[in-house]
Amino acid sequence: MFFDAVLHTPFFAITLSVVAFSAGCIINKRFRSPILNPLVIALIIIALILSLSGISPAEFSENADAISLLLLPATVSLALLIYRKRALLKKYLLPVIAGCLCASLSSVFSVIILCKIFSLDEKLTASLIPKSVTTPIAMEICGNLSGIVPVTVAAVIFTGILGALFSPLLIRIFKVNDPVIQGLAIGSSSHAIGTSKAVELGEIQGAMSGIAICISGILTVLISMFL
Amino acid sequence: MYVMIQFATLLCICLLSEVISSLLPFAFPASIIGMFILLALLLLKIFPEKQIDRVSTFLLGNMSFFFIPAAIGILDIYGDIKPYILTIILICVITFIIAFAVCSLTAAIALKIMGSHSKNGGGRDVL
Repeated sequence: MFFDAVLHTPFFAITLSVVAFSAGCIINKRFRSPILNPLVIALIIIALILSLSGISPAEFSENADAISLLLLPATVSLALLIYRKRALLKKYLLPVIAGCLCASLSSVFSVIILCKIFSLDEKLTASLIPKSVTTPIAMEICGNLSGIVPVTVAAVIFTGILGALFSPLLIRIFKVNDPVIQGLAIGSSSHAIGTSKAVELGEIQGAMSGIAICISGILTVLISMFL
Repeated sequence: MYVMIQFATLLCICLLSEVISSLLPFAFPASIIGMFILLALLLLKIFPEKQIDRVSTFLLGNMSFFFIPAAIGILDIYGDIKPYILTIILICVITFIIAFAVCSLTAAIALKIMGSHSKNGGGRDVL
C-alpha cells in the first residue's frame, strides 16, 4: 500500500490511540454505561484497525510506547487527590487505614489461595495479585512480581467494571448503611472505575472512594514486597 | 501558571522519584515515591496546588488512555491465556466480593472504635 511507510511509524500508533480513546470517551458519555468503558472501546477500535492494516499488536505497542511514559506523572498526580481530601482523610484516618489494609490483604491472599485451588501457574497468579488496585500501580506490582502486564490490565479493568455494576447490590446484601464505609469498600475493591459509581451514590461516597484508591494502592505495594 | 511550567514541575518530581527508586536497595515503585514527594511539597506549602493542578487534572482525568500500549498486548497473549479466561473471571468476581465485604466490616468496626462518628449511619438505609 502506498501509505505503508506511515502505518509503521510511532506517529500513526499515537494518533490512532488518541483518536480511538476520544471515540471511546464520546461513546461512554453518550451511553453512560460502565461496560462501555473508554479504554475498552479504544482497544476494540485499535484491534480492528490493526487486523485490517496487518500491523502486529507487538509492533503497535512498541510504536505507541511513548504514551506509557506519561503513566508515571499521571500516577504521581494521585497525590493531588489525597491533598484535596486531606481534611476527610484526617477525620477518618482509622477506618481508612483499617479498611484499606484489610481489603488489600484479603484481596491479595484470596487471589493466591484461589489460584492454588484452580492450579493457575505462578505467572498468572502474579498477574492477578494486584487486580484490585488502580492500573498504574497494579502494572508496577505485576512487573516487580514478574507477572504478565496485559493480563493485569485486563483483570483490573474487569474488576473495576464489576465494582461499577454490582457495588450497589453488595451494599444492600451486606447492609452497608454508612456512606463513609460504602465509599471505602467501593474504592478499595474496585479502584477508579468503581469510584465512578461511588460518585453517583453521593459526595461522601465519591470522596472516600477516591481516598481508598490511593491508600489501597500504596498498601498493596507494601504487601507485595513481602511476597 | 503556564501549563508548560506545571508540566516541568511534575516531570522533575517524577525524575527525582526515579532516581530515589534506583538508589533504594529493594524494588519500590517510583510512582509511590513521587506521590509522597508531591504530597509533602503540597502539605509543607513549598508550592501551591495551582503549581500543578491543570496538568495533574488533565492526566488524572484521562488516566486510562496511558494504558493503551500495555493493554493492547492482550491480543498477543490471548491464545496462551484463553483456556484460563473463565477461571480468571471467577477469581476476579470472588476476590472482589471478599475485598468489599472485608473492607466494609473492618471500616465499620474502626468507626465504632472511633466512637466520635456521629454525622452518618445509625442504621439509616442509604439505598
